[in-house]
Amino acid sequence: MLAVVGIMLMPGHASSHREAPLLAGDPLVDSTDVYAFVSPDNPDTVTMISSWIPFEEPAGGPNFYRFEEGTQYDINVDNDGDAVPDYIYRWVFKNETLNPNTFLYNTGPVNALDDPNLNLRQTYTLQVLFKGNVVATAGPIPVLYNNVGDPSTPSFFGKGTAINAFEHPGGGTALTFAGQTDDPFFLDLRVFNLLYGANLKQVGSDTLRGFNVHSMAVQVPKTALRSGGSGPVVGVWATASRPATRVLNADGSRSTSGAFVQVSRLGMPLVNELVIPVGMKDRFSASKPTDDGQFLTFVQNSELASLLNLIYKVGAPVAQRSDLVSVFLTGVAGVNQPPNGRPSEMLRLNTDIAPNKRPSRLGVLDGDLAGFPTGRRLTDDVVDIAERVVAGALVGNKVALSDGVDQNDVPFLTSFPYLGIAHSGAKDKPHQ
Amino acid sequence: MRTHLKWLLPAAMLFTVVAVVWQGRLREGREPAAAASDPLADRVTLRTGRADLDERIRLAKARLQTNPQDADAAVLLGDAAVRYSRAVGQAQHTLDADQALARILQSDPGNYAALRQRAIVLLSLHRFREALPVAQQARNQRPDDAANYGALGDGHLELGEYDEAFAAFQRMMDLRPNAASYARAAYARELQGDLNGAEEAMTLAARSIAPSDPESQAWHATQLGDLAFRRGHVSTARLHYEDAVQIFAQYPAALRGLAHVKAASGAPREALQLATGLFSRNPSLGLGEFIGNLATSLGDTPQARRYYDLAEAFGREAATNDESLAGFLAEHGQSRQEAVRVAEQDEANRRDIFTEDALAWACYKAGRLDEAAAAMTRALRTGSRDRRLLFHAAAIAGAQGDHTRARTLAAASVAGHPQFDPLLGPMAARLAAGEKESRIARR
Repeated sequence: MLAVVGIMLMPGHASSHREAPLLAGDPLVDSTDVYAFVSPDNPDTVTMISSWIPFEEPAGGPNFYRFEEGTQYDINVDNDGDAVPDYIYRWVFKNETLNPNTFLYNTGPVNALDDPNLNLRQTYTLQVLFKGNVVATAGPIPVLYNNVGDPSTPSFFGKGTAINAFEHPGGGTALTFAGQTDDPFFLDLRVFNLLYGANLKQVGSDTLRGFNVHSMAVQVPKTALRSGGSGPVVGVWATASRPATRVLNADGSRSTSGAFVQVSRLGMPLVNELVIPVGMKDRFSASKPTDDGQFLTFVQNSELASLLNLIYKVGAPVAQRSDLVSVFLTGVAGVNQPPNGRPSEMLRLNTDIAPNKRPSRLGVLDGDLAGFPTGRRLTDDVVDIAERVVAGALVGNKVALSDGVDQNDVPFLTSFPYLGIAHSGAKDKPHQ
Repeated sequence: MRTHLKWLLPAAMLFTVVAVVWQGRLREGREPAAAASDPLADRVTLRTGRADLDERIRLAKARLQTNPQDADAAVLLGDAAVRYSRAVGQAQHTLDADQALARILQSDPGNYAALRQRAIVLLSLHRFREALPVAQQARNQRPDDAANYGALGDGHLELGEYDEAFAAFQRMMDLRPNAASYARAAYARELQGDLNGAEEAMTLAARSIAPSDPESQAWHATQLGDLAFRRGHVSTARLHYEDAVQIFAQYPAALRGLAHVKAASGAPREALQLATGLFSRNPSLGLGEFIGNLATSLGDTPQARRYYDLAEAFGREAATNDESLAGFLAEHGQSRQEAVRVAEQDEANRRDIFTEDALAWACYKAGRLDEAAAAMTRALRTGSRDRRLLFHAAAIAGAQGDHTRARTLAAASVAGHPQFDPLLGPMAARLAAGEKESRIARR
């Protein structure tokens, strides 16, 4: 029987609404984290990493996560403190389907990047731009495929896989990588789940355990990165940009693409989460570091510090936080502050500070100047550092705040690209 | 002694963070500021598989039962319900969400997330005129949020206010190119007759969707199928529709597309089977009419009549229709006068090209040719290449004695795709071949 009865009666017979989804999330251009550090095993080079697409379930079929085709995924480097990118490392991806008659990711075991069983594949072109001009192009280079799991992907990510060398402008050899990895961020959200009966989750559990992301990394000669710059400090941030198109037909012209529009921006961890107010997030995502003056007040007058005081009574200063301005916007004097720099939000790495053989997860707060907020290493516990800094660690108010998660759930590799190997879709259970 | 990270989650933020975590979207919990009032901020991507939607609706309704002022629950319900109506095909949850959001906005008129979601819910219920001020209010609060221009544009577009709609879509695009803005650019281009450009933009939209959002993926794949079908690329259309059904089982719009594909590729009985099966689960005016047309083309007049009657019954009762009831009544109804009356009522409320087309067709069928021609001029004003619209325009031109124009329009209507509709396709082909309009389309 037809379900005619019971459908709501309404006056009018409005019809033909196309109703395209409007509030879709945008994980493919959601930058989760950015890292920049002097390479521990190759201290004449700097490694920069950006990760994208939060919460990839390892078992992702029948549709598998991949970088967004055609989008500009950039790691930007300011080497003279003017908040304008001097170098841009730009990854642009292209999809390929070997056999268009199947939707399968792989049609048999995949043992290599060029394995004919790998049906859905991606390649990328890496461009290096210097002061707006393309000065090097590498590619097409295959993307490391997803760790679908045995029996599809035995020997996933063996040593050297998907790492490619290219000649860096200004001299020297650089390395590039792109593909699925473990989500390197670690933290505990310790959330209070009202819906399932007010169970408190325990502190000390990595909320991102078992999730994958897509990451790209580049390792470049220090001297080349600093060429034309103002000294040892470089600022690093990631952006993603998509082409805007025209809505109106322009007298028969069919050209789609207008300018690329920045849709994502990330430098320092937790800034978008804890500093930028909710009504400003769209603006921040589209903003450039040169315009960061508009966000100054949110750094100076820390809403987060107020919250800390409210809940923990930690006595954090809340106004005129010049210490936070130095951490988030200018770099800390004598550590990672470029001379005459323009205040702007980015990771600031002092490339003259040698890597620490025994890095402290608390970085600068523990006297380890090679760590966050001097750049950011994969092992830096930025949640603990950030909460202590906001509580006033740099101005004498030392409170041992912590989320109880001190390290990542999987080990980091000891050589480029350093990221942990992606969780296997066969081994790891889905999270829900 | 460690102090916990409670500061991430002050009490005011708990509800939303819970809502987010409940979706398994934990990273957004890093955003207490966003979470405080904004459970559907851009970064939050709620999973949208069938089971996810069922669960979200159930839980959101349970929360609203406990606390009718739970704004985040109402917003989550609104989002899930709109998707559910697309993916499963019932409007009841959307109506419930509208009530819940209205109640919340009564006590908290400035609640941003509720405003933004209410505009979308009203659009889904085809209450376009009401949606506009709500979307405007949301836009005024957050002029940088591209989604608000999407809601504004959708409302204007359905009302036939195309300049305003296209301007809103362009603003949306300039603020944030994403699947939502690309899809709207695609529709705008299609309405202007640029199907190539529409397909380009829809391809950009489709590739911007993550696998965590199968509902959107299926929707975009279906749209690509529809665009290919409209261009006469029937086998390409089939691949897109199959893709959609693969991603989201039983996605109604994709199954309907597959029925169209079968009808257009010499398998009318398979088409009939698929379409009647779909109709038993997801009845709609347009689908019933399609089945009727299909049965007519197979010479099965009783079955055709049965489905025309079902379609009409459905069309008269439903909260929202996928096609114009007036247009249907003009073609298949008992009273031509009623068709004109309904069409005029509709046209008093909205002036979009399809409402104008329905009025034109109703007037044509009632023998009111001058009014038909005037309405058809308005229906053609955006340059749409919609095949049914062009066929109607051809017939009206023919009735007015302009046989050259009738042939040209009819030829455009079937160009590259004579099987676009089991009934209208052959009629348009005859008109294009020079047969007199009066022998083809009964008046």
